[in-house]
Amino acid sequence: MRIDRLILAAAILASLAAAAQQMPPAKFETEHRDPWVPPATRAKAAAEPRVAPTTAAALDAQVEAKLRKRFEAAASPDGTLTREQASSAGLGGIAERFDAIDPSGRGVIRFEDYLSYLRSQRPR
Amino acid sequence: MEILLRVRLLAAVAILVAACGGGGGGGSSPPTGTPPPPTSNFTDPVVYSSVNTAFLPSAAEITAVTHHQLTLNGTTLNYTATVGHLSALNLGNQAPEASFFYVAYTLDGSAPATRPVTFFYNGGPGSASVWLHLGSFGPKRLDTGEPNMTAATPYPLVDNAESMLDLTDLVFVDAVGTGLSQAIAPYTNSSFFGTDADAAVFRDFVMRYAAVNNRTTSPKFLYGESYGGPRSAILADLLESAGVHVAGVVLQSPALDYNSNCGILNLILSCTSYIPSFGAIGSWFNLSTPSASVAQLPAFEDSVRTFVTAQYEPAIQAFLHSGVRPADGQLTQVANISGLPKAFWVTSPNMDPEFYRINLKPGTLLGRYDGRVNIPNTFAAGQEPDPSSSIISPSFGQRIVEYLASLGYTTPSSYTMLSGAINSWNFSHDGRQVPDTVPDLASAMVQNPRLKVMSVNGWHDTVTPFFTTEMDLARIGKPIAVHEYVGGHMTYLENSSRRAMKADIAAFYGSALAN
Repeated sequence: MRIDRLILAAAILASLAAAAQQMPPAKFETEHRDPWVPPATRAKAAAEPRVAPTTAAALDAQVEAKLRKRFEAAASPDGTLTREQASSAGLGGIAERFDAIDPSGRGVIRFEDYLSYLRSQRPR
Repeated sequence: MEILLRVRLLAAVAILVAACGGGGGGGSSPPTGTPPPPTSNFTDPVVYSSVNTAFLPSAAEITAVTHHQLTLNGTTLNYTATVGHLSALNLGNQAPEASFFYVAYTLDGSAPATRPVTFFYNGGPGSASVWLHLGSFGPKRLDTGEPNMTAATPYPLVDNAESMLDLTDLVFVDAVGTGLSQAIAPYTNSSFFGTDADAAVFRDFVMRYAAVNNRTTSPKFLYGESYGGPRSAILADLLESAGVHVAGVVLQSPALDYNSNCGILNLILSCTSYIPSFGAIGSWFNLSTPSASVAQLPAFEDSVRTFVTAQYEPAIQAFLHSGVRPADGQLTQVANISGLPKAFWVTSPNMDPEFYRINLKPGTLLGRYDGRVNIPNTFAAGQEPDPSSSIISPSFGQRIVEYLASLGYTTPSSYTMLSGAINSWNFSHDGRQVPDTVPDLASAMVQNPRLKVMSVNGWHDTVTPFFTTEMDLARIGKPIAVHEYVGGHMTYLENSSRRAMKADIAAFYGSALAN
């Protein structure tokens, strides 16, 4: 009797385990395969003035603008940034290299210091 | 007697656990390094949703862990598969943002602090990482038989002799609202349905994964496909800014600049960067004059690139600006290259890739992702599917569900292969309506001059043409390895190309790590 119960318990366990295996089928919610943009987005993009892809100095200027925007958002109104300000703004890339960016050890850096540091770096 | 019965019951339960996917371990114990965690299955009770407004009130970080073996080049590798969720934390306030579903494969016995780790994701936006996960360089892959597509479905899941597990640990992660990834309150899924928000939450996932798994010092690689390319460009920039260094980025058929691809925007753009791809497809069907064999393709494409750059692109710019048609000799030449009759080029000198795949072989429909894949065209105009995508999709959908269960993870939720996120996605980026992420990649390379970039592309892909990608990457003006392989968007589905890719990727990892 007890053996039957145990076998029954094992069988129930087995069926529960089998049921748990049944994930529902995977879903496909769209027919669109990338790259694709919705018609409204395409219309807005098409209405933009056409500009040539940036290279060289124009591309460098875009990179600099991107870095400057982040730096200035974290810096004091006078444009200076401390290691703590960099850290709390999530600019770990500046915080960890702060001493190298600030070789004079003033404890504050300006965007130009950061840019000079980056320009001094070369791939090994 | 009672004791014996208990032992039997325990044995029965143990067999059940093994049947649930806990087995597969065994083998020799790892030589050195951190011991692998114990096997554990996980039946996740949470029901995940892909809809825009969905969120989880809170999220646990629970995983299923199983142990496996894979033989690569005669060497048996013991590895651990970890399946479950991790919560990305906001970079600013460390509040949970999204519960990311991921599958990680880690080599047993390696030192986590120095072992490379690669994060894989597909694109869409709105695609789960399932295509790379079950198609490319994971320990298992679906054997699709591309391009013939005559194999019985669902395709079998086989050991992957080209897995990258010998080079790096592998983390396949699903974007928010795809797979089983979902936003955490106060965010909703749609909080991350934008080019910038998506890349930022991926950054937060990478940082969380590194923090939880002692991987902060591991060399990190990104492997994104299609929209995953622009995601990688922005993500690399954001990670470098946050002080998380990226050793290398592999761009699989990337759409780096949506403003340079006439198949994405429309025919106000020049489509000439598709012509080399047309040449490969026309040659595949022996319709180009002359048609290049696979071995002849590299030299053939050099001459096509030269023709496009020197002659046809300037002619199309004139056509777009003033309606002047290309010279007759140029139309003859582009017809010869593409295999599409000259009459079509006379009518439409700025040939649309969609027109090409429908009209190259009358009565036959070619694939968008892979122009070699073809089926009889029985479809109404404008309703043509992409056979290179539609034929493989059901197999990937069926196998991922079975496979996750075999890794000890089950859920009452449906795995979302492709979500509707793309319909409401905010594509705007850096002041443009659709993203140009070349400056983001350039910015990452300025912040980390040691970061290496490689691009892998298919000769026969007509959604992200290789020539477009070559020109996008050339803008950066730095050495970036661009490779082309036989095949479409998902070059890894082609057996010979996956082998060639693995060799090139191994060399790339070697150079990035020697840096």
